[in-house]
Amino acid sequence: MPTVTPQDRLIAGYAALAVAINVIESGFPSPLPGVKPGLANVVTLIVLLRHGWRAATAVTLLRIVVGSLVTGSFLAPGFWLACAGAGAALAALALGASYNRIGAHIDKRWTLSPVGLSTLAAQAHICGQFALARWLLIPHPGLARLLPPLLLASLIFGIATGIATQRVLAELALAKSPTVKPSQET
Amino acid sequence: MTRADLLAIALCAAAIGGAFALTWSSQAAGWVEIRAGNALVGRYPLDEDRDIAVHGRLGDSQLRIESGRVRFVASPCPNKVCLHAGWLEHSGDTAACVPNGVSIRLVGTRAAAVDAISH
Repeated sequence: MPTVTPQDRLIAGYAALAVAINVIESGFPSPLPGVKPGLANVVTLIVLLRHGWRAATAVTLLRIVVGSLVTGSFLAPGFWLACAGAGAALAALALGASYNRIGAHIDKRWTLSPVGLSTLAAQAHICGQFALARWLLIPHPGLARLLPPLLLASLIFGIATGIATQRVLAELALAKSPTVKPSQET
Repeated sequence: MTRADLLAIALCAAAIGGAFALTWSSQAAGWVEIRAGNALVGRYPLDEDRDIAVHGRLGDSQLRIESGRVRFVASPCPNKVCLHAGWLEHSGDTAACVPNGVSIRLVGTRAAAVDAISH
């Protein structure tokens, strides 16, 4: 009989949070197809930084599949775009995280904070989506004109979600530390 | 925010600026392709001014190439939609005199502009 490990519960909890953010966000109006804040990436980043890339990948996969089932886009073009974007973003995050591991030994000032990681992930996300859209969904050279505005939007939202991630991580660190809030400990 | 963050953001911003310059700068077209009926009847460079008469179903449509642009100047059609299209200068621009079966399309070296965006 399969047993549920604490790690499974952790991933399920994070994934549920990410799905909720995803679904709420999908109801927001958007001026351009494909432009949205991507706040669920706050969850991905936090999981990556606290629990490693395996957990982050699991949470992301769950978010895409469950999120698409809830919004009714499972296996639709948007679902594949989300997969391509998430794959590219995770790859960028993995690269950034390994760069940080090496950089931490040399000079701490040149390591990426969550803001930098989120920015790179957001840009990679758009590039991954765009590559799929360009080669499979809309193979038209004119599509190239959509890329710069999408990249610009994702730069802004990437920085914003990075800052949000930093704030949440700081709050989590405070909540965990018994010396800061002794009254919370029972 | 660390130095690496700022560097990453600056590099991304520079790349986006470059991408905008590549895809959104107005593109001067190189040639005009002229069709009559279903056949391509001519392809002229836009950097040489000239007048062209194209024989269509109803008669001759007159085209004029001038300072890198092209337009219909006369056509034997009732509504003159082709004349109202005015000067064309960007790669991908088109005008047509449907009654006469004559159409022109500008082609350049770069990708044509998007026709429409649908959600």
